[in-house]
Amino acid sequence: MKTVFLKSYKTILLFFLLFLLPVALNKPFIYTILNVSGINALTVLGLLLLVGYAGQISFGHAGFMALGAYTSAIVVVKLNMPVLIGVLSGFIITSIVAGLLAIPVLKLKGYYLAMATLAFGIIFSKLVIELKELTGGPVGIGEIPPFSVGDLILHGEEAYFILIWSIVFIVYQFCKNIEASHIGRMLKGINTDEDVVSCLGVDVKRIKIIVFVFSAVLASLSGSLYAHYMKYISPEVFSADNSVFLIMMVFLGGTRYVWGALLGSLLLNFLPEVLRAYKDYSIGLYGLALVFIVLLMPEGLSAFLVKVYAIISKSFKIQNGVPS
Amino acid sequence: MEFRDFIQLLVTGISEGSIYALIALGFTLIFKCTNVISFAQGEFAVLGSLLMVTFSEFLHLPIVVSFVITVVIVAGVGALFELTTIRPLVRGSASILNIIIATIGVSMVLKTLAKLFWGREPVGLSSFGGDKPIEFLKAFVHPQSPWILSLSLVILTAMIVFLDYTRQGRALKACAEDAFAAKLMGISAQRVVFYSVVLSAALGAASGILIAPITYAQYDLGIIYTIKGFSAAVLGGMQNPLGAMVGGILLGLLETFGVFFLSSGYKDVITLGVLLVVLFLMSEGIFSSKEKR
Repeated sequence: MKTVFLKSYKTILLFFLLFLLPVALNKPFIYTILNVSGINALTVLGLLLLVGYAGQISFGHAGFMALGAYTSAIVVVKLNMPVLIGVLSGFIITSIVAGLLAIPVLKLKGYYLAMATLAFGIIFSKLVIELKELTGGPVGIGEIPPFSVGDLILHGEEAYFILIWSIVFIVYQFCKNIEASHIGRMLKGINTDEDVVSCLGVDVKRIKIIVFVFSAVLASLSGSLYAHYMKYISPEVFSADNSVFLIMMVFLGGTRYVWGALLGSLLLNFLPEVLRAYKDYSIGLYGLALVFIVLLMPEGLSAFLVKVYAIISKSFKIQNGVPS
Repeated sequence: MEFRDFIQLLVTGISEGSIYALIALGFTLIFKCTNVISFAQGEFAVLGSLLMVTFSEFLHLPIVVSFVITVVIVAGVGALFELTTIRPLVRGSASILNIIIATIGVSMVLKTLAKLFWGREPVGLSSFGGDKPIEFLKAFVHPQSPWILSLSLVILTAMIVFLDYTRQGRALKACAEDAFAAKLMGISAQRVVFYSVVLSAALGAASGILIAPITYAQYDLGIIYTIKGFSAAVLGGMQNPLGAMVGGILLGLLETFGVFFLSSGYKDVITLGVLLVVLFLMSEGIFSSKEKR
């Protein structure tokens, strides 16, 4: 037990600091921003496994978020089912759709995979607008009941903050475990050289499909949470632009460390608040940042920060007469 | 469907298809030399259409003059794009994933610039020969359609002549055939890549200008142009200008006839569906190639 705790003390510290964040910053809307960051972080963690580790890009994950959000909303609002049933049916439908898509899509590589998933993302968002009877068309679905388990109904930003970030904590720990396991090594192997990994006896196709479906289900969970948290969903929230945004979170945060996913989602949700005065150019600034990140630090901000930290701590040790 | 409708759809399909073909041509030009597919390709079309509106509608310059100025400016933006993004990426032999991310970054920058200068609202451009619909075999077609057809044919012919009969063009073809062998023959790969990116930006601008009277010009159409041009390129097999042309026109026809039988809301869904079917089933396009997907 002790070793387990010691191993994850950094994680616990990280989340302890995160939970302190709203108290420390004490600004209006801080909970809203943090909650939306947390919701995004769930999808980004899944994408980190799929894109960052396995190297299979997807520009369609906003579509899976939409699938989760709309299934959940339709089941709860139109069929009067409990929220948990809504979330679960989101899982089921998303995993079926993602599984069926994954079989042909993951045969593609590189640009073709990117374009195919982008195509799916756009098709999803167009279908959401066109299937008016089911989705409410461009207007969306409103008056979605809050998240509840049995008689326990969630009220207030703080309650959602605890719920969302607790789920993020669990998923984060899960992703870290996957990274450290043989599955994580398989994923990284697929990214480096698929043929070699398959020669070593790994069923590459199966692993890719599993990781794709897993990340899609995470996106569906974050979509459902979004629906019950915001209580209103409309097509533009799940547009193809948003898929690009999610991928940006992955790459800005960096794919080397799992916490890069958290960094990316927090950063890209806080930046719009900081850059409120430059709202019109913000997208362009993000684009510029992306180009710089790719050209100057292709492993993203998290790896960059770790490097900086290593340099600082090294020089600090030398100053104190303890050269390492 | 009446014969009149059929003619109307045919003309619309072929003219919209030629636009996709021009963008597709831009994709193939860059791809064959560098193995780079730029996700910013559609933004050049958007820039072209918006600049054209400024010069021809607001500054009242003659159409030919505005056309030339616009293409030159957009080609300049393409040159800048090559120098600042493509060149470092190719030099650092960046992974495909990083190329995708960087070019998407560029597309976001261009989109934002377009929004800043021209605003969110779509702006219209009148057809080159007046806005009166043209009667053709009892069908009414958009007055811009004949312009699109003839001009894109001219551009395609010019491209083929350029590739086959000029020094730069042949260097480009050689580079596309075998970059390493071309290097050994003393062809500067860097210069060829520069040409091809500038050229594809100019092609994008031309396509944006030609389509603007039909679809309006708006800052956020870039991604749609990108994905449709790419679909056309894939349909044509990513190999030669002729393939891109045929792929584009086929796509345009599928789209217009599809919209006739379904509903206009499904226009993009049809194109993207075609892209997916081609990618899944005929991964080598209608003209076979040895390219591995």
